[in-house]
Amino acid sequence: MEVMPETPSAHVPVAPTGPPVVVASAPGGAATAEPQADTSAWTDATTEPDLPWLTIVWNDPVNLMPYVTYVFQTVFGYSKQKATRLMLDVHQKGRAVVSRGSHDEMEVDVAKLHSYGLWATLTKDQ
Amino acid sequence: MLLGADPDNPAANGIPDPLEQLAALGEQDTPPPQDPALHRLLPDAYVDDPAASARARRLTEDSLRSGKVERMRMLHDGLPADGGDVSLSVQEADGWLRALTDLRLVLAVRLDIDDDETSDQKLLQRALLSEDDSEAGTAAIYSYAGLLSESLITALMGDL
Repeated sequence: MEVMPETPSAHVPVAPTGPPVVVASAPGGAATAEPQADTSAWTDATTEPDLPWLTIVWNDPVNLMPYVTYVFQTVFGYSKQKATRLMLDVHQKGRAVVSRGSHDEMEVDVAKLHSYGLWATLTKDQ
Repeated sequence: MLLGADPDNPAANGIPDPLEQLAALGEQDTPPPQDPALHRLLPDAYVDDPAASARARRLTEDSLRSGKVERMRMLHDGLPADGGDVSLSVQEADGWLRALTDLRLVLAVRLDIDDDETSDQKLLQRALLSEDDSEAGTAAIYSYAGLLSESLITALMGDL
């Protein structure tokens, strides 16, 4: 919500009480006006229309376990049960897939998680 | 299509897509921060893909930075100068939590807290008892920010 307020992610429910909205001061609103920075969309239109991408959260020694659960509930609107299971996966297995969707949606999710201090990356689903 | 570019494949005749060029004008991909603490606050969006990470940074880093600064300022301004109770809305508590998290991430890098929980606990204990006031102070703030975060989470989780 914070990074790209004009692009609500439709793939996940959004918590009703969002964080304070800070609008990007990027010149010309580039962050929302030019979502397709990569060229993969038109290099070959006959294959791979929009393979799902994954957002992964990695374990780190600083973030508290209840905080990670709180972030998953707040950012994705997940139930406490689901958020706790994902948090435990991160803690015990070192990483967990927390959301799936298009490339652009996952870049938004990763930025949201970075705004909460979580160590998140996106990758193409294998 | 300007310049006769093939709409289905703008790169086919070697002519770059003019819209692509326009959109990229004045836009440089953003390299990662040199300071490891700042890099932890603004991590790479991709593992093993510096080019894609730099491109993602160009799109998101400005707003990430301003949001983090804004929340840290809110936390600072919300602290009563002479101590005492603080009352926060859910939204303010969320901002405090995120600012406290950023603070702890930075202090953890300064304290060399890495990824081994057992040795990290020992390291934190040793830092708290350090003869070096600066190190002991850093460790104390790190611990206190963690305690404060826990109590905020406990208060917030009732609302989720």
